[in-house]
Amino acid sequence: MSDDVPTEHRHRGGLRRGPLRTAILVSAFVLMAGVVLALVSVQAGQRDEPSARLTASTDPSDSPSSEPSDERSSEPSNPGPGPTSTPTRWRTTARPGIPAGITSSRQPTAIRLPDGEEMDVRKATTDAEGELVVPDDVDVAGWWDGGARVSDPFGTMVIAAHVDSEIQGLGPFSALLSAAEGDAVEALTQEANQTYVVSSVTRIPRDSLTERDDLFTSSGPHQLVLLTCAGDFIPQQGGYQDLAVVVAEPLERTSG
Amino acid sequence: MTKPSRIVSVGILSAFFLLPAVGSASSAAPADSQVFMVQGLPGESVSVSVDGGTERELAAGTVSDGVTLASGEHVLSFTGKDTAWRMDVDVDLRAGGSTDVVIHRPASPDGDPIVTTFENPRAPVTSDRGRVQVAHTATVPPADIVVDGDVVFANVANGEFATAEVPAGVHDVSIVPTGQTGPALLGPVDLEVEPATLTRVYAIGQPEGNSMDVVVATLPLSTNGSQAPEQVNTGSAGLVSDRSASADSWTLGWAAALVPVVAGLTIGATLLARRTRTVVTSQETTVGNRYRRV
Repeated sequence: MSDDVPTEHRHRGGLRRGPLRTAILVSAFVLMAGVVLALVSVQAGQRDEPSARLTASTDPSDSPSSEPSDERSSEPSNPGPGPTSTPTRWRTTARPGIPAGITSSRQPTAIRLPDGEEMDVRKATTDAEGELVVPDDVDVAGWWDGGARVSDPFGTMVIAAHVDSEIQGLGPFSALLSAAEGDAVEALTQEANQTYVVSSVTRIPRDSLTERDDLFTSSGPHQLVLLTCAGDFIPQQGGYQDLAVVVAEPLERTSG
Repeated sequence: MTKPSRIVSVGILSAFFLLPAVGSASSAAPADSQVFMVQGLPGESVSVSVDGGTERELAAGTVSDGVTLASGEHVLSFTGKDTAWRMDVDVDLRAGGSTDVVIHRPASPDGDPIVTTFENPRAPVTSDRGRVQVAHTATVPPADIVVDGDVVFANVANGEFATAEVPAGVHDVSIVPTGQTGPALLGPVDLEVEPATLTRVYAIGQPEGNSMDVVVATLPLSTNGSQAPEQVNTGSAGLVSDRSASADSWTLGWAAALVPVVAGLTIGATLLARRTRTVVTSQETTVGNRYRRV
């Protein structure tokens, strides 16, 4: 500061340089700093307050949209069961439900007979004339597509195969004609296999099938029904006169 | 068997959603995915918004209408109104899928809400069957699901589900602690299974506070499978026939009957011829040409 001050400055009425002026300037500066600090702290307080209100509030009219949109007030990870800590907001990923037991299609793909012989099983359909179209190949069985699947809780699962053919001779199903109670038959699928235990071996006239609704039902306990031809073979009367009917019950799985 | 105490009505729906436009809702493209929200918090007021869209209320124990979304990732924001909480849930939806998104409590009574997704299996069934998918989303330990008196699903824990195809009709369903016969955690209830329908069943709530409940909703299914056969023709060579396989049995019968007749005639003729010959020989020298040799 120079003492050499022009006369005009004095006449403008500005503050005289000196201790008073300095004191006023310093006070003004301190005052402004204080105001700025106060503003900053109020701002911070306002940011905290909504989350505190949310935690304590039980007023259902409090809408989350009143929160600042960038608010993230709690841990982002999946919350575990926490009796004392209820996060106010958290982000998580939906977890997929876990299948308990077999849940997808269980169409049989193969069957293992009591004598240990295994044969493929393919889908078989009832045609417009009411005949179950069983594979011509004696080594391939047909699973009726209107029946139950392996390990279904209810209904009969029907599998049929030719007992013989002129070209191939005897088929694996011919062994069923001498099946006995207690014999094991295993149905194989893409997922898991199921053992069935023979409970009855009977013969019925082939033309009595229409009376046997119980062999082709979706109700009642789940059973395996194996069909193949048997009895007298009379060419003029359509060939075999009977059907061998082998019924087997699913063996309870012991695993939990 | 205990008579069921109430009928469970199927398909309580609520909460229509307005979405940010994602294609046409009436004709879902193959890349779209269908989502249903299931509110499994009995007695609690919950709302949900999809990807920051309009918030809608979900009534406790109900299943929302289907919401069509593009496949891929979305954020579902669930808000608890009673004890204010908010849960932003990431889901990843499969193209062409149908998913139930269930908000529920874990097995522990004081646990925070969790969200579990269950795919709805839309494969066809036979025309006389329905598919039932039962999920455990209740605050109880692992349970057995008993249908018509038999344990059909065993040891199903919170967050797990089981599926079965059953004959259409009314079925008696109860849920019991696993390995036990009672007391029932839920039910018995009459569950109506419509043919060619997927019936989704969610067990929710907790025994304390008596809030155990079951949420049921359905979706249509297509059908497959053929009618019961009237004929099964499975054999053509006669190799296992009870009679001889190489001959016609009619001819065989007659042949069998004729054999003794022919044999008898042959023997008789032979004996007769021998007797006549002897007589002629003995008389031949005495009488001369009166008798002929036979």
